[in-house]
Amino acid sequence: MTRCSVQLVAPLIFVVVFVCGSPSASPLKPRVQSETPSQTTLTQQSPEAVFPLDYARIKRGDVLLLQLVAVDNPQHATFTVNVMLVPSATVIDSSQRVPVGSMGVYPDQENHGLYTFDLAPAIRQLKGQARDACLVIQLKPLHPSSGWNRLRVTVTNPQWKQ
Amino acid sequence: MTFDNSFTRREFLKGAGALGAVSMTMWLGGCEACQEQIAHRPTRRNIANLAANDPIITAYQNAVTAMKALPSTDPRNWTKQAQIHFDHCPHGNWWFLPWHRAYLSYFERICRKLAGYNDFALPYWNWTTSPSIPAVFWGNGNPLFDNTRGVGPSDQADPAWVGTTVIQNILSTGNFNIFASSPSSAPRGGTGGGYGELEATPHNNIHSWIGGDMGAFMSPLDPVFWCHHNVLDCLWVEWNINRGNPNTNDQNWYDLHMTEFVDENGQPVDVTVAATVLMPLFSYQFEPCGPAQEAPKKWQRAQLEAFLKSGAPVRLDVTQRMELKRAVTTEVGKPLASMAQLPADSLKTVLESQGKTAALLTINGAQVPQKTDFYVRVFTDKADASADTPISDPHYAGSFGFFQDAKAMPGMEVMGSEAKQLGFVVDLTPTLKRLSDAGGMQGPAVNITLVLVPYEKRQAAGQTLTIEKLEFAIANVK
Repeated sequence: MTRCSVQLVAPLIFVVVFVCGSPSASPLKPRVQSETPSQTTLTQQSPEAVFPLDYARIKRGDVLLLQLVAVDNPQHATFTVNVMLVPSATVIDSSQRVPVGSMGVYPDQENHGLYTFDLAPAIRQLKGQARDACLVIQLKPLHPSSGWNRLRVTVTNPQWKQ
Repeated sequence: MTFDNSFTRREFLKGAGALGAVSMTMWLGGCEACQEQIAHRPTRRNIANLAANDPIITAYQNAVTAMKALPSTDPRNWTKQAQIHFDHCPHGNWWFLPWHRAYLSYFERICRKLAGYNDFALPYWNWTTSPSIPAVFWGNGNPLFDNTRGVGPSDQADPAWVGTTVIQNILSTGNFNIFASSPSSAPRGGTGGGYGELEATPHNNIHSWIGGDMGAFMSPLDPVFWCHHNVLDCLWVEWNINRGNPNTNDQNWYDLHMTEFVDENGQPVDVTVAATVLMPLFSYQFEPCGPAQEAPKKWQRAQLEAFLKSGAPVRLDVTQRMELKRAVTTEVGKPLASMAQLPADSLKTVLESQGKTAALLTINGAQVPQKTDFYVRVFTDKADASADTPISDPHYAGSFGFFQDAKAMPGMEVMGSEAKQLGFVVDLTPTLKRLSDAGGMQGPAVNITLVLVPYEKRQAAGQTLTIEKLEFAIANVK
């Protein structure tokens, strides 16, 4: 099992190119990021980010916090940011993603806000693979046929609250 | 039914001994009047189980048509109802669920009246099992259609936010703030807050996905709004009652007064969050909506008590107590009379307090026999009260029973057959005020009569009720 790993490519933002486990991986390659409380910007070209998780914090019931801090949405696209777990960073099979929830935006597509998630129910579904689980956040348009190529959504990297 | 939390659970525990489940009905303004409503409270059904010509659908269509036809000066007018949401709806904080529960409850009552269909219960749209907007909401000329929607009849909501797995995961958290959104200092514009999973995931995304009216704060203009929020309410019931997850016990949450709604007659109401947590027990029930269609949790009485204590509203300061009777036994056919000799200013305070001071009768340590074919009515200043005195009598103050009919509260199982001690509280304030206004009060003394009333077609002759202590109390309501 490959643990999520990180690599520094820019000040305060830790990014590595996602090492896909399959040659047929999606061209929209997600990035793997650290838990440093910085920010990640998701776009149509880069709609996903993957974060390592602190299994000990999940086990003790800590709450995951994600904050939508900036939305640049000149086309007024409707979107959401799905929050999921994967058994490891190498798993790209979408059927192995366990949905945790999503950061829906209402009523205003430029709305900001703090979102809380309990990862425990999703972690339980990963069973023996839980220790290597990674968090995936995925920008997704609600109406893909509408234009969203200029949409930029910035989310804080995962933070925890006891 | 008026939702009134003028007495609270801590008072039951402090002043009236153990809590009887039926006591909760007293919160709602008189047990007896509620018993029938509780037993026959309407069932909010899954709209997928209703035919297009089902009377519920027809009533909903008729109600929407009637509301749209009302003048804009009528607060039940369709747009005015949506304006309530626009002006007041809390989002991204812990009042999201109770506010919308109250909003739907009063809307349902308006629909019931305007459609002239007393059995109407608002149906819900379960997007987990039916991810497209149901067919009954489509078609030009259909009052349930909204032509601003950005989706069509065959479009489906994404399982990432309404699918079985994600809803199951959301229901599996035991943390109120994660499930129902986080504490804030005010419904709008306060400090704190944060989206919980139910609000952030299916709620927000359904609104934005449908778009048009639904995508904004005037979303109640789209009739599907009400059925969308109804399934959220159903999921709250599933999480809170059927799965036994407690709501927060933070008093700041319970104490919120919502005064922006109107009842079926267009009259303003004042409802608290404390009252909303009990609405599914007393005002309506749901066809199961949880993704696993799980059987509801079976409550033992002690468990239910502990559960409700953990999340009960608690704000009542008793300022005066008067013991009326101690260790007294009354029998069917033999009313129990007592008298509270009040200081003159106490009664005046109660009558003029506009709900801020209450006069309460507390029944402590009622020893419930194994066989109870009766319930108890309470009258004030009615020395000749009997089992034949109707509840329409102006001296009638309320009643209490012993709630051993599990059918009246699905999911609650009364366990054990040994005699139990229960406590009850009856709010005498409305009756005293009514009598005073009519010139029927004799003075600062208040006579109280308890009458054991046999249930219809039951043999209750000779059955007794022993009460450890009967008290009259004056309390400040906060």
